[in-house]
Order: sequence, then C-alpha cells, then structure tokens
Amino acid sequence: MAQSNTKRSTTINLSKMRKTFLLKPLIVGMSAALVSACGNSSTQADIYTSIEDCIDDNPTGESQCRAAYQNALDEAARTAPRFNSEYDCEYEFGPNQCQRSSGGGFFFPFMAGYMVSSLLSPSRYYTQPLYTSYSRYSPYRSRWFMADGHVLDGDIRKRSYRVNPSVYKPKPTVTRTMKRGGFGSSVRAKSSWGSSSRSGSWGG
Amino acid sequence: MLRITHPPRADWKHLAVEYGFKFHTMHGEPYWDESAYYQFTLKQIEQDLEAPTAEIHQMCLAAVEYILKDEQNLIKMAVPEWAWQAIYDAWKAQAPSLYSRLDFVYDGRSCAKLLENNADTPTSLYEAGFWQWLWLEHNVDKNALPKAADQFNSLQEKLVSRFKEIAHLNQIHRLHFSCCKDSEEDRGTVQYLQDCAKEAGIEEQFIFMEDIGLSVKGEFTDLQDLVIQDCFKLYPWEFMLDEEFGKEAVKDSINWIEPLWKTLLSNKGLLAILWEMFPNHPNLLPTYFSSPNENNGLSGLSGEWIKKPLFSREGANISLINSDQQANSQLEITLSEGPYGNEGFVVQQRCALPVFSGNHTLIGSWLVDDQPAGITIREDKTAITQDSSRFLPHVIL
Repeated sequence: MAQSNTKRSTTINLSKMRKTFLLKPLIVGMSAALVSACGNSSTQADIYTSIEDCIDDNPTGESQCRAAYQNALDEAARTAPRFNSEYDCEYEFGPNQCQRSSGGGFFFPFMAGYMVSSLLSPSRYYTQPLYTSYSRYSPYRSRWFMADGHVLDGDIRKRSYRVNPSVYKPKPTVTRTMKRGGFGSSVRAKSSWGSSSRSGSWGG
Repeated sequence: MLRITHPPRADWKHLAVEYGFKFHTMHGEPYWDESAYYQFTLKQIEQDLEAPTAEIHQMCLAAVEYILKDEQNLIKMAVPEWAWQAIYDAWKAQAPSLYSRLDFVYDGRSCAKLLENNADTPTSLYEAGFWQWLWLEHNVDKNALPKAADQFNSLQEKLVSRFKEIAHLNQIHRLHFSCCKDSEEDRGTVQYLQDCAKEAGIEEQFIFMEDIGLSVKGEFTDLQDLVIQDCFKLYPWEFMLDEEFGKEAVKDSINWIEPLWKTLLSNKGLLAILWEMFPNHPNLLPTYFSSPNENNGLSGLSGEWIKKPLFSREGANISLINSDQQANSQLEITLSEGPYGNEGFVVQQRCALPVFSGNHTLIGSWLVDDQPAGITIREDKTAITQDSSRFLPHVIL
C-alpha cells in the first residue's frame, strides 16, 4: 500500500529503470518475442493452412472457416511485411514465397496459414494470418510467426497452441512511404544561429 | 525555503551510467548539481506551489476557450490561420493532454508568480521524476538526510497512470515516441516517457522527427513503413506547423501527445490573455502584447519590463525595457540573443528571481494532465534561466 502522507512516488521499480543493457536492435517484424505457451489467461488456438484443412477439423463450421480465412487474408494484405524487391522478400521467405502487390509497388510473402480461436463460439472468433520462411538465411525457417514478429514455439508441424489472447490484437498497418524529412527544418534553421554546436533541448 | 549545501553521493556518476542519465553534464558544465539542495516546508509546497499550479491550469483551460472565441486573439498570438479550425477541433474533441510545467518566481515568502507555461514540450522531466527521487532515497538510506524528508514528486506514478488513461481514451495499440536528432537531453526525456508508457502496458516505438515519413494515403509512417497512429512528440507545435508536413500533422488520422490545442498554452501570448481574463490575480504578472508602434504595448506604464518572443525556447531573445512614462522614454537592453522573435513579443512586468548564495533560482511546477505532480529547481549564475542552468534536488521537511 502507498503511504498516504507522502508527496513523492512510492512505487518506482528500480530494476526497470536501469539502462546498462538498454541497447537493442530495432528490427521490427523480426524480433523474437515468443508467444507464451503458459499463463492462466491463455486460450486454445489452432493453425490451418487452408480452408479445407479448417473444415476437416470443424465439420460443422464451414462458413466460419471460410470467413476466418478471408479475414486473415484481409489482415495480411494490410499488415504483411513489405519489400521493395522480390529478391529481398525471397531472401527472407524463400524462393517463390512472395507475391507482387496489386498496385505493383512492392512484394510481400504469401500467408502460410491462419490461426483461429473460438471458431465455433456463438459470440465471436479470433483469427490472425501466419507466415513461415523457407529461406535458409532466415532464423524463422520452418517456424510460425506473425506480422509483428511474434514467433510461435515449435516448428510448422505444430498446429495447436495455448496462446495469450493478446496475440489477436490488430497489428499495425503497413503502408508505402513516399517522402521523409518533412519535420525538422526549423531545428536546422535555428541551429545555424549561435557559435557552439548545440546539444541542448528543443523543449523548454 | 532554504538552500543547503550537502556532500554529493560519492558514486553518483556511476549510478548515472547505470540508469542511463547521460546529460548530467552539458557543454562541459555540470547540469545535475547535488552539491546543495533546497528545503521547503509542507505548507510552502501545498499552499504556495501546489494549489496555485492546479488553479492556474484551470485558468489556462478557460483561456483556451476564450482565445478560440475571438480570432483577434489568434492573430495577436501569431497562430497561422490555416490551423485555427484544427486547433478548435482538437480542443472540442477533448484530445487528452499528458503533462505541462509552469515556471514560477518564488522565494518561500511571497506569492509565486507565473513566468510561463511550458505546455507543449517541457523537459527536465527525468531529472525531476526519477533522478532527484533516487537522490533522496539514497541520502535517506544512508542517513545523510532525515527519514522524515519527503519530496514534492509524484511525477512517475502519475505519468504511468495518465498513460493508461490516454491509451484507453485514444484506443492506443502502439505509441510512437519522437524527438529531434542531436539532442541527448531530448532523447533522454523521451526515453523516460517510453519507460513510463511501457510500465503502463503500452507497446512503444521510437522514431526521430526527421525520419517520420508520409505515405501515399497521407498517413505518417515509421522506418518500417508502419502507420503512426499515435505519437508523443517532444517537438514544438509551432515548428511542426511551419514545416513541410505541417498540413498533414493537423489531420485527424493521427493523435499527437501533446495535442494541438496545447500550442495555445505554450505561446507566450497566453500570459497576456491570462492577465486580460484574470487581472491582478496574485499568481500572475501584468503582461501585454507588445506592439512596436505603441511603445511596446506599454503606453501609460512605467517600470521594468521583460520582453519575450511569443515563441521562444530556453530563455532566448529576451530583453529588458525600462519604461519611464513621465519622461516618455524607453530603454531596451538585450539580455539574451537567439533566433526567435519574428512572430511578435509580449512584455511582462519584471519580477526578479530570488537569489540564494549568488544563484538565481527558478521553480518549475509539474502537472500531469490537471494534477500538480512535483517540482524542478533550476539555478543560474545569471538572471535568465537557460538550458545551461543547473538542476538541483529538493526536500520537504
């Protein structure tokens, strides 16, 4: 319990404030955050590689299987990792694993499977596109992973998981950047004033 | 309010490395200074600083409403006309604010007087919220300060809980954080806010302002081409509005922290507006818009006035005006140089900072949303607080 009569913070976690090992690479989409297989709020998740695969497993759920597949595909179109060239994409995902975008501007991997939870639940089901890599250069070869870099444990033969429901949170939209550098010109202009090079703040 | 010399912790520079406090020394001069601390009574903190901070914030919110009712105010404050509607929309949508810092002249006895409101891009946050807190913990632990010593500093706890609220209000899945390249101080401040956001359970991602991209559809993007939906920026709105991406920045496809309406509070014209709305308020100094043709706005007024640009950072472009109505004369002395001032000025009655052992002392009083949350103390050998001014810790006893 916080002491009620103090005017300063009582719950600062010092271990989280240490920065000695802060340096970490910023490669989103490939960070190895493992989806936890334990924890009490986990939910059952199944992975299917096709609509038929799903129907075999859920004979009464054909329409849900189709809808979940389509949802995952739509989500993949929005969030899949994007590459400027087919070569770059195939380097990560393997030969013939990539397609050109409908607009033609970039390449992205085929959805290799889709993960679903509560497919036959009357309320709502959850679905999420999954990818795998056939590239021998990729650390994710023969593993299941999501657009934001979550890697599932085990290899692609594993089709049933206990996952934290947060894995179904919408992934950020990926888009194409036309231009960078539209912010920062005021600082360049103001930095040229004064003699010493500036390392102070642009705040106040 | 006392200034008490005190031995620095022998290992504080090692601790700074351990905790990633990289800007404790700037331009070769000490910035963090624990060779002394300030001591306040609880009454001084609660009555003289905390209560006025809460009240002035409410007055500032009323001022936003007031400013937006009359375009003359926006013109006087040099707010670009094309951005008026967007500012109004952000205000009406109640886009949530994270934090602010009010700078006061306070000597322990007289009413604290508001110098300005750093409502958009306040810094010295890590030093205030975490580093001076750690200083007190260490000194109390080794009995170098009494067990009863407290500090006006609930910043970190309040920031974490405010991040939770904002994440809920704005439906944030991932929050980007941004500042300019080449400022260790700004990067450190933003890293601290990232730590607080992470503590609040928010997924966070850093990008430099210069690296932010614009997509085909007019969305902002990070270096992985992910759409930036929500972004904390330690970068002044008046710069952003003036820059190439300014027109896109005010569109509602992105939520900024601080929100656009806070640009009205960081504008020094606010001080003139507050004086117009609340004349003779005990925590305000007489302040007027300066018009070059009318004696700097000081017609009929004598005395010493400080002239500051509407947009200015870290005490740049300040001058002192000696106005003598009887002699109908005005003498203007430049106190600090800088690149600001093209947009106009305000004149504020001079209220000298108190001097403790030869140091001019300024109090920065923090708000997280509308809650007073602690103080920052800055000292300078000169009368103007600049980014070279030293930061000193404080205690309540």
